Amino acid sequence: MLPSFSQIVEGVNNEISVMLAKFKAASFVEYPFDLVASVTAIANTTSQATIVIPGTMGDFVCAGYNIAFTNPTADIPSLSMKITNTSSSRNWSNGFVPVELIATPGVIKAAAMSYRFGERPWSAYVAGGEKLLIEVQNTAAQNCTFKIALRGKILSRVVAQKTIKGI
Amino acid sequence: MSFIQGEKEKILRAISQKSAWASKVQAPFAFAECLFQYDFAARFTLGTNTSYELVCESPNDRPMLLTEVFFGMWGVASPVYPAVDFVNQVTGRVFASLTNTNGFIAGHSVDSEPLMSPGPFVQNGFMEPYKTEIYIDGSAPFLVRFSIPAPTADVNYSVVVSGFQYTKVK
Repeated sequence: MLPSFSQIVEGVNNEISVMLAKFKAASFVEYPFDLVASVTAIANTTSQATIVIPGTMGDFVCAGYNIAFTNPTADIPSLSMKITNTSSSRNWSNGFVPVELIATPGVIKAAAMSYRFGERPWSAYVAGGEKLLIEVQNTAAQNCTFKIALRGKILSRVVAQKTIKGI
Repeated sequence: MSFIQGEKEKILRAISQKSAWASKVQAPFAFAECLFQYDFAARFTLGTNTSYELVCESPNDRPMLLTEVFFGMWGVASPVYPAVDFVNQVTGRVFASLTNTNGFIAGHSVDSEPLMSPGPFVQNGFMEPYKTEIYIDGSAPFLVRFSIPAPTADVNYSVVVSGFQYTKVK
């Protein structure tokens, strides 16, 4: 017996609903986002700042970072930095990374060693709700300012029709 | 095929294509889930015929793909480029050597001419990191050995060895 017209339409609607549900469950909305922090790096100590990714915002995928800092010494590198995901206890380096290799000082007091400029490509994943600890070690006798911007995207899961988490 | 069945096929095909698109959107996310970047870094001083060994232990002994090496130097009048060896710490086996690093992975010293054009904000330049592909199985620590074969005064270096660790982020 052939199905009725209404049965066919209902069947199509059911299949569409099922596939749309799968589509929604699997899809993400992504949009650009920067995480930023500023640290006053105290002389002869390690200073820190915390970046919290709100749990309601979604996960963060980092594509690169830029650093700016004032150079506390004329020609001897004295700043290094470390980023840790304190929520998952994950370090992104074995120790403190010399910042002269990843950034350019904002104020150059003298012709010093090689400095890198521009963004450093960087791939990292941080889940929503987790915390990043930015530590800056300053071995110089002068304080300085250190700023970092992590460029990336927020991935928000589509949780329901017309309800998009994080937007 | 009836008209309604034909329309049904079209609709389902369109949704299926959307699903495929959704999978592509997820691709970067999946990538980030299984790999994350990791740095091994140090500052050290080398004199004539000396070497420095940067001990690198992959966290949780997971495999790694080393992708770049870069360093800067200071305290000398002209650039001094070290040889760079990657060594298995347990067996001593050298699995990669960069014997001629000139112009590839270093910046330059205090008083030398820049090796690349200065950027808008700096007096000195910075060479692009040396790109490589060295796979480490993670079962044993590896050493990155920097050495200077020729006579020279002490040279100060800042070094970063960077790569990706194979892991599950979450």
